[in-house]
Amino acid sequence: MKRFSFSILLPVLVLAAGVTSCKKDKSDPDPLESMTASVSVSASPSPMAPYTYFSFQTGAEVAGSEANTDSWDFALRFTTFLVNGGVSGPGMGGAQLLDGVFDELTEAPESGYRVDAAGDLAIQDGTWYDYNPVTHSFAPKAGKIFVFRTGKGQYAKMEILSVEPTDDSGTVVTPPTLPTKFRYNVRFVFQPDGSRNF
Amino acid sequence: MSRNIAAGMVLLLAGPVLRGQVMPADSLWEMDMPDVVVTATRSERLLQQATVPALLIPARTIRMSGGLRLHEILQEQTGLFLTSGTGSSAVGGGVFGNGIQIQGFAPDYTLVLLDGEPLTGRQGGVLDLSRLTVGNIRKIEVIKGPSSALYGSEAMGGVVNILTEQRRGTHASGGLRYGSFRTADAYGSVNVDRGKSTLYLFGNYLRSDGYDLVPDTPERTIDPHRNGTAQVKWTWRFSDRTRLVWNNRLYRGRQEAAFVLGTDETRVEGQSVTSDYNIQPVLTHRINDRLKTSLRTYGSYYRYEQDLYRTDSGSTYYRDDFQHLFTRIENQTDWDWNEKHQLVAGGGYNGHTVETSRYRTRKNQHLGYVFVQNEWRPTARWMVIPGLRYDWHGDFANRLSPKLSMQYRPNPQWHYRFSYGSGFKAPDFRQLYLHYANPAAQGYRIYGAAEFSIRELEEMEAAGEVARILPEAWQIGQLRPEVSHGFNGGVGFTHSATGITTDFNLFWNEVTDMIQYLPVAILANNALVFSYRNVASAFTGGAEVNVRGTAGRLVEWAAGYQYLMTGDRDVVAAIGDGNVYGRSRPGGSARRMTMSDYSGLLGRSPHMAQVRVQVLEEKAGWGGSVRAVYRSRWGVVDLDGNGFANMEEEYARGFVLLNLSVMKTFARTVTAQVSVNNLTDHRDAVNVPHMPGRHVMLGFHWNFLH
Repeated sequence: MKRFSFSILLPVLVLAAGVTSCKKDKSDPDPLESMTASVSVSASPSPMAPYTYFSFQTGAEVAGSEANTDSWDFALRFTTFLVNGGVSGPGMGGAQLLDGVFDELTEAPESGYRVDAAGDLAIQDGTWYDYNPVTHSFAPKAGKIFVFRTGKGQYAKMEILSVEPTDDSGTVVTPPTLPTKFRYNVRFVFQPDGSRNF
Repeated sequence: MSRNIAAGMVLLLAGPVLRGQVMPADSLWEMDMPDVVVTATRSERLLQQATVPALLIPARTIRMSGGLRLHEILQEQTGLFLTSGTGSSAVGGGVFGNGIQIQGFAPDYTLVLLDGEPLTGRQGGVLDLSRLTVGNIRKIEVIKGPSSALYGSEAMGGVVNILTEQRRGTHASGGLRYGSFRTADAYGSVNVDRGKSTLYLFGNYLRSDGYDLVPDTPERTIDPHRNGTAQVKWTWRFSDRTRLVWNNRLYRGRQEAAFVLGTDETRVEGQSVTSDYNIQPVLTHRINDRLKTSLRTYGSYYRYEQDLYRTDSGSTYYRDDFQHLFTRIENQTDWDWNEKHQLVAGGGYNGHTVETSRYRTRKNQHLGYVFVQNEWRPTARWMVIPGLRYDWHGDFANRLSPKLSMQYRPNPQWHYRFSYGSGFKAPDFRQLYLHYANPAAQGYRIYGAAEFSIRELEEMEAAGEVARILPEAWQIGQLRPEVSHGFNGGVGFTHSATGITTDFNLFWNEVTDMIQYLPVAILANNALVFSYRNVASAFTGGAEVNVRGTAGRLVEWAAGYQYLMTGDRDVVAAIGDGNVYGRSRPGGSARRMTMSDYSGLLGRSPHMAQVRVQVLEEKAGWGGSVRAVYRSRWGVVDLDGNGFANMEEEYARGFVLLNLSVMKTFARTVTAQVSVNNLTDHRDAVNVPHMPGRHVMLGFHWNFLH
């Protein structure tokens, strides 16, 4: 009933710091191990800000100079996702957003993948997070599974665990300090054999 | 009353002869009896005869607690939760103030009356109760559950009616209080009675440095503030049958603001000024023994001005000006047509004029209403009260509000109550007229439903200003009032030997057509555009028990407990379908939520308990009270997108508030009082900014004439 939640925003999240590259998630019983990774992007919503590119195969960021290759799978700027397909890249990439529990998704859908078109991106902004207009904070919704067809045509599923507001050094900041970066902490499963099985 | 020790601080106990009796039909001049409530039926009735859950806080309880402002008093009552906007001026400046939650309804759904007329000046839907001094209060009545059949909009969760002093005789009193945070409170009152005419004058001044619960930040939790209240109430008795009561109240408050911008460390300073003036002439005429009519007119003006500037350049950082003029003319006629039927009927007109920088133009609203209620006593044991009200509106749909309440009293010890009522809340001004763009770089925009135009969005899209219009945008249309259906059922028992009374009440409220803001478009800079729609439905339900009694001649005690459950109907349905997800910890993987994870609406504590013990030795002039209030944890924020609290990090900690006060009267004239509040020193700057740590007040009260 309360219209605005003025109370608090993203308290200090307790995710382990320094998960910048790949790490095995031991609790996962699936044959394909799920990995966690962090992607840091500029906190500026400006369309001039650079995209950060990511590859599931390496589980790491890809240099912006490779934007015109099929070696990246998604790119991120503020809250805007690009896939490596359509108007955004030369790859075979596409994506769709599903509701559900990450571990319960054992097979990527056969169809339904969208590619980026001008003014109509595969992953629509505002669909996977809650935005608080008062504090300008956003929190990823639980139960949103990103299913990607990668730049090279393989499949990956991903969930966003948290988005942390940080300064340039990666230290989490709290209000009223404004962040200069957002660190997306994600969990994903990448299927390298080209099948849709996770 | 004048013979009482510490007159003005202590009211007489209810005369035992009144108990269980039917109030005399002619009670026009007898409004000082403490066991009488007026709010439940719009006419004076004994509290025990109320057919709806009613709470009465006498002046004695208020005086003995040592509280200065209304919210301090209400937060010690069973089932009333104090809510607060954020304290720091950095994110809104305590703008929303302290409101009260009743039966799980947010402050927007609670009607606050002063001498029977609505107080205006809500910010973000909340009427700031700390605006009200308690120095001139005769008693406070709280009716729980919907009363829209009598009072119209906003009387959904309940009605708080603050009744100010009104008595015969000549009195003068004054007081001074000083304490923590350099808080000083001075008040004085004079009552002059000259046969046909009675004049009551009251004044209050409060100043405080505010306090800081997080000292290592540049801003204070509550900024320094000062305010003054003046009241003039004049009663003129033309004859035994005709009386005019002319009541005027003036309030003006000023709050400093100072904070540092996170972006570039610029210091911003300024102030906000709140003005609230009410004028209320009421003419009452008793036509004969069975027929009484009153003409009530009311005007209320509220203004909130905020002016913030950057200290480095002196340029304006933010400026806000909100003005609301409310006028009402109303007739109420009471007809006791026979022994068994007492009819109350009336009608009136409300006018609103609102002007603010946040709306495009000045807005006017005209509303008309009629109501009727019949109090029927088919037998000595039964009382049945049906009521009906119809409200006409200009800018949104009309509303019919029925109510039926009854009481069965098989013997003097037991009584049973049941009531059904429909409540409504008209769309508020922001939901209709807001036209606001946040000045920050990535600022969002909000348009009220009456201001929203899909064509305008389409033009903005064509101009490249809007990146995408969301499908919800085409569903924005005329708003309907939010509607509730509330049920209350209870039983009361008085133990004859001990006089201990127990009152138990079950309540259930179903709310539909709730208005929420939702995104309708995305701007080119990724910021969102919001508007309002009737979308949600919710429920609140629970049980409340109150026990009170006396121990010996000196001790009065009371205890209460409320269990509350609330929920959003859509969320409950989605959980049933298995479509709701959440995390077990922040940053954790999502899992499917079950009903056992569901904690209901944010801001609601499932458990609340209250204990109060008052001791008063009138002969020696000693008195004191100890009050404890417990509130269990409540959800404050949603971090995983499911709309409710399911992780520890989404809750505010529960707490116990322990308050204590002691007083001693000297020579029947001067009373000294010491109060220590929040003894356990609970502090929560984020979720309970209105509660300072442990703090002390010392006060003196004089009776010059009594």
